[in-house]
Amino acid sequence: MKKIIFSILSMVLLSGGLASCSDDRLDATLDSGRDNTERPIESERDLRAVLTGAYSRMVQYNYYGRDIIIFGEVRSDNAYAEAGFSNRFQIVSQFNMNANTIYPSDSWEQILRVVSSANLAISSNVTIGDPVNINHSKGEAYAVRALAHFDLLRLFGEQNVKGRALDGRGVPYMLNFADLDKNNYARKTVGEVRDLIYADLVSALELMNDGEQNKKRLTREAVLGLKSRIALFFSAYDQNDLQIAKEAAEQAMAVGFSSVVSRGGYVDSFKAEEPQVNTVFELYQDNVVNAGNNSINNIYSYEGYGDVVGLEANLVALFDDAKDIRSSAKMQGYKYIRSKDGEYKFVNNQYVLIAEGEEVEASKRYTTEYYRNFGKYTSRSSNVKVMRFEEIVFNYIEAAIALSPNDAKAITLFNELMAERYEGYAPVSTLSLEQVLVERRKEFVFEGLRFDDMMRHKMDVPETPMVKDGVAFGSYKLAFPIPQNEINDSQIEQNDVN
Amino acid sequence: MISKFKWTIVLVMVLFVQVSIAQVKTLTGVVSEGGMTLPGVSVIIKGTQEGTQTDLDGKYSLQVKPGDVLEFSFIGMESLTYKVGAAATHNVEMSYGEEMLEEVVVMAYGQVKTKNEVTGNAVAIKGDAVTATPMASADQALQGRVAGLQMSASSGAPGAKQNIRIRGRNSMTATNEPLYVIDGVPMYDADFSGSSSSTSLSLLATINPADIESMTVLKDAGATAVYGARGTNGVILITTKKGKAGVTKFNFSTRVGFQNNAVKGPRLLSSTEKEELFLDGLYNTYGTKYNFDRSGAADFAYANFYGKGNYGSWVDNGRQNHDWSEYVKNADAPLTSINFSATGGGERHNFYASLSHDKIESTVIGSDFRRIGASLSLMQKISDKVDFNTSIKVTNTKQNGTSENGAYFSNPNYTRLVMNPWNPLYNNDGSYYLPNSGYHNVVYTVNNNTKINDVTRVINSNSLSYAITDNLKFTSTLGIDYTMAEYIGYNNPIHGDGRNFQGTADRYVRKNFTYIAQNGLDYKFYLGDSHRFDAKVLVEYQKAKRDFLQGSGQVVLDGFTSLGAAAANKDNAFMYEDDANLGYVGILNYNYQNRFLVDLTGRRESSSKFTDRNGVFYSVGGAWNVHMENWMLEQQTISTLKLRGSYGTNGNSQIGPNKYVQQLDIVTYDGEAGLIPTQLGGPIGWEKQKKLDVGIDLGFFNDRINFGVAYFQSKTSDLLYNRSLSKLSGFSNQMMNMGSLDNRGIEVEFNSQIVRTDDFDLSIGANLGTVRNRITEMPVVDGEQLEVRGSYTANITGHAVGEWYMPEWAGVDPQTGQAMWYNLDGTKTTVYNAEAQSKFHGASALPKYTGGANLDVRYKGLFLNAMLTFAGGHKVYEQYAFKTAGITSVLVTSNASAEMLDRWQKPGDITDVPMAQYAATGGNKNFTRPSTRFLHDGDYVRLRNLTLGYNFNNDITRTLGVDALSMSFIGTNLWTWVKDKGLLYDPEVSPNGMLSVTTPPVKSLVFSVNVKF
Repeated sequence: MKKIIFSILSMVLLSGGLASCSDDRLDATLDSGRDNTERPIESERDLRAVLTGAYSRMVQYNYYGRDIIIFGEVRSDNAYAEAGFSNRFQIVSQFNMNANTIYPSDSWEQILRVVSSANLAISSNVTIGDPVNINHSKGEAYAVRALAHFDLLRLFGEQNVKGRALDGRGVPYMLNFADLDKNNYARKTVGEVRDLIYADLVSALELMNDGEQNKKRLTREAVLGLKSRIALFFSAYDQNDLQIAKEAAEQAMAVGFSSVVSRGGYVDSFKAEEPQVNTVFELYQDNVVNAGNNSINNIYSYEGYGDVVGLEANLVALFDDAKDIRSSAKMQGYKYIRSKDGEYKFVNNQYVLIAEGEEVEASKRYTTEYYRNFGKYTSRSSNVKVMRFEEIVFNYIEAAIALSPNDAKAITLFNELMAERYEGYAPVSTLSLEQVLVERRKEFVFEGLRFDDMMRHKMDVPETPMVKDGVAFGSYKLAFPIPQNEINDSQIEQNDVN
Repeated sequence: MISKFKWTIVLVMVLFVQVSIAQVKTLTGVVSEGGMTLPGVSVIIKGTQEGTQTDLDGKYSLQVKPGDVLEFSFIGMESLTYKVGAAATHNVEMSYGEEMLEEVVVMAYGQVKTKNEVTGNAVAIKGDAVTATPMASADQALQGRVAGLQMSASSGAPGAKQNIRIRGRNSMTATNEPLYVIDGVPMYDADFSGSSSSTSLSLLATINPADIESMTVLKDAGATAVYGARGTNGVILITTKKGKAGVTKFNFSTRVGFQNNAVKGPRLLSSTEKEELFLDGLYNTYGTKYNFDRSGAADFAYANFYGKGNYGSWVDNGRQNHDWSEYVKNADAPLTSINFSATGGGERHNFYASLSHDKIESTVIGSDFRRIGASLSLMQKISDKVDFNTSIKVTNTKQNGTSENGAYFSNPNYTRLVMNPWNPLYNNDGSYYLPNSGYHNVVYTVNNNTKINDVTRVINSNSLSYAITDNLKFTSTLGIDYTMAEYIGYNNPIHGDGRNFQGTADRYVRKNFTYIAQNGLDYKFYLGDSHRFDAKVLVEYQKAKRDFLQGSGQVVLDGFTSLGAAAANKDNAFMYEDDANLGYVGILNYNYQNRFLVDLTGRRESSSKFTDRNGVFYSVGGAWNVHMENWMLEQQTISTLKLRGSYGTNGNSQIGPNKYVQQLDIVTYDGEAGLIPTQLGGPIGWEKQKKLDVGIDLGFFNDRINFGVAYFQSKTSDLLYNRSLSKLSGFSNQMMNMGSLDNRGIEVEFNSQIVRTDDFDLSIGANLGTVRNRITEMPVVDGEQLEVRGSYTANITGHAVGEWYMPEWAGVDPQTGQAMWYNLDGTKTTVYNAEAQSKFHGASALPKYTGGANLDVRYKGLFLNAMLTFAGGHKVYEQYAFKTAGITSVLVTSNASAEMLDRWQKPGDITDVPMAQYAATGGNKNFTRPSTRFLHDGDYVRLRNLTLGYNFNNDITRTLGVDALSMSFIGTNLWTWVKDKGLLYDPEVSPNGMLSVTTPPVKSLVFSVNVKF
């Protein structure tokens, strides 16, 4: 009898304790995320976190963490993606992409995620916290949105195709968070996108203050600098933008957060893990949070994937001046080649056998047969320099002399900058656009600016081992195809495919 | 005449009277087993308390009446009955209850039914078939045995997950894997491997196959509706062994064997063949420009491409051949298994216990599997009314995996395909050749890196039942499933993935805890004599908690491999998820004289995964056993004729939790926590499925020949569809209930015992299942059905889910050697991106038909079983063709398939391989892009299992002092036929149809010994 009582007791316990049926037993835990409907963005801290999230998204490998930098190089006369490594970027370098290629589709998605983060920040109703800081963050968000749309346009817009310029198909411009309204998805013209970018930059500059000087986030200086970059870009299609570029650059330089890096500091400025004097805006990475194998370093480095190599003939000629710090061994490296007789090194424009017993420096690459970037993005954890002060200077110079060939301030700035690059630099008194472009190219080689610089001056992309006859300015190939999965969902227009 | 008849009647009546008067008599006899008399056998007159027991000599003596039914029973033996007739003695030969007299099928929630009582579509597999399959996980025994069950291995590595599809693809986003229920506990489908890049580990690999008593595959709604939301893709019930009363008996079995890849795979170019293609390419690209002919290509290459792909060194070293396929092979990989079990007990309690140890190496270097397990199952009758059952199974599985789930540089299977054959394994001085960049020397990395999954799993189930009355029983069950999976990873700092980080170390711990409680009542009642009802009601609550803690670090000193030794860049991650499920189940079975059967089932279920939490599922099933009708009893030919059918609903809830939440996730940037919007969220509810199943079962000549045919149709609507969103919204996709699809097909099963004599048995069987999968409605967005087109497949209404969709290959232009595809207008083009038109190819990766055929022969003790499996009507894509068909500059640091030797060389050549060009021009730039050039028919036939064995007869076993002894040779996958000669890989591919670089299924030869004592 005792046993039976015991058993009944157990049954009651089992049924009562475990199978009780109240509905809250069904609630799932969400402990690594936050429900935006239940707990929306409402405080200064929340808002800053959303912006922090936007920067984190920008530094992913499929945006500034690698791809957009590399797109600017492998489609130019600086570099290409060589066969026989990991096969990354070859299809980009070949200008052979179609709507299903992964690169356009990854970039499209990642850039729009950044836009989404910015729109979340802009649309949030933040009431808790210091209004000055709230405004600054909101301003950052407008600037992030402008930059992201600009980058989207650089890749996907048809501004360089068949002389369409501002009338070419641009990209959609997203102004709302989680916008599911298809009416807002239509592609705007390049000109319309430009106007919206400018409008966002105006909003950004109104809201931001000069108290924030963290260069790992957008500052007023950075926004002005970006404005000069953007206006210079559009000046290729509309002369009036030269003035905007020049003024924005001038205002940016006037903020005074940053300056040109000295000749002595040039090489090390690329190795530093923290922002330097010439940093205007850089995206932070560290030893733990970085793109790892997908980093810029890994795609350039022979010890990594090593796909992206320099166009040797062009770059050897470009960096032939030993007095130029940018031609130094640390930046361009030595070029070694191996044969059955031993190791050769490239000295004074000819191959010299490394003598028996000559010290072999472990840091050098004795089997490298390609021209490589050694000086920039020196490790996986290197910050991504989105904008350096030198670019603002060059933007000013280029806009100014395009407006007025003898712009005195431009020449002064040019001489000041060059004095920090060449040993024993002799100042110039006149300046041609060609000179400016050559120096600009040397300054920013491997940093992803070259493709747009070439496009701005309507240059053809020359032959590389990946693209046999080059790509003429105006070709449909100069715009990325709109990803097929985007067209499936939004039916937006595809770019020209021939 | 008439008076004579009357007289006779009177006489007969008198005799009857006499019989009824003289009814009581004494019946005696001897009870024995195998020639030995059995003492203590209980002999009872059925329906009474009267009876006796046999004495020490096995004799009994009992007062009986003619017509009484005697029941002879003895613990551990088959009970026998005897209807008393005129005889005064009756000797009984009893036997141990190895074979059940009538086959029974274990159904949902522990219901056990005979074949004739089943209205649904369920197929039972006995434990023998499981143990006869020398594989690490029990589900591998299902292949070819169940019509409509399609199976493919995600990898042939021991313990890797199997992909099972029952009756096609029922969902587009939620899982298509069936539900596994082990002893009543529904299991979460999971891959216990710590790293998604390395070898998967099946949940069933953590169960000792020898502990399995039976498996039942439930296919139709009648059988699965009680599992409600999780029954959509079919249910696989696994019943493990329980104790058997009787003298304690032991079973010892051991097997040892070796394995190789079932299919060799494509042959790769040898070092010199590669040079030939490489030089061809250089000549075709640069010959004119630099003015050399084909014979001068080697000099040109040596001068200008010395450093490319190690070419110069390879030439300098005398053009040696380096066969990386051989280097990564683990030929004749050994397999050993030992199992020991014991069972016994008395009337009030019994037990089953087992111990097992398995060790299996993979056919590729660096991968093996070891499992040690123990189980104990106890039954205790606490009183006449209360039974208590408990069982516990513990296993520890240790799997050395490789990075085989993708094109990882450290994947030996991938390395085999792509490793540059100009790269040696060793340097001239005998040290490993460690290339500075590109593919790793995988032999070195496998020997110096670690990827271990160490999984400990405890499954415990307890049930207590209380017979309130004879017809009413209360049962309470509590099941616990706890898994702790550890992943231990290490990459050495010298070479491979760890080099750039000076070595990496990882340790992941995953803990899954699930408990399930069920309380239910069973009630049995009759209305009149012929109407029997069985009713069951049940409430079930299941809670699953999963947490994951990961630590990783870099910079590891030589000689250390553990995370504790990592000096820098330490990082951690954590994740916790839970979900809960509450179900109410009702089952009503109605049985009219075993002629008419009606089953009703219903389930109301609530799940935490949905905003609309509650779902109601039901089924109705019926069967008519025509052969039980009186008018059928007169004939002998047809022994079974059963018509059955069922209709019902299921759902699918196998998606992750919190999918309805608009979610912000936490990220890190510059030492600050950031929030990013990652999930749009929105209301979601149950995916609904309606299943129809009708069938006929036929048996002839006392069921010597059996034939069954079934037609099924499953319509899934309100699909849990991860709708792709325009990226302009900022989100990639959104889980919604939209769209519908349909699967239908026919399943046929046939079994025949052609010869059945004492010495010789011969039987054959076959099964075939077809499935036609169609999207009936794609999600409607803005009034139009979506058309989702990808590079390889597209989802469009009217086509199968994931039907192949790509440009059609038009061959190589015999004049120019250029690759060509078809335009939409049927003309050929060499312009891939703009002109070649993608189109459907009438097949998906899902076979349109699958099946198996088996042959069983026994002559005296000698037995032979053979089983063929086949699948067809589907296509598979050679996804690594972009490497293995690369005969451009891609080839320099890589390798290609030997098929490429058939390249076009001169005008007029008819071939499928274009001209070799170092820098490709025209169509050749896109030769390896998706097209039907690399899409192959998937049809295959495979000799899945071949067993030849011998059961030693009683004389020998008695001499040896054992109960039974058998030995056998088991061969698996000994022979494979593929329809498409271009398909050089193993035809068993994962359900997405992509030929992968996981370890292919194995061909094994195993020797097995089984002793019972």
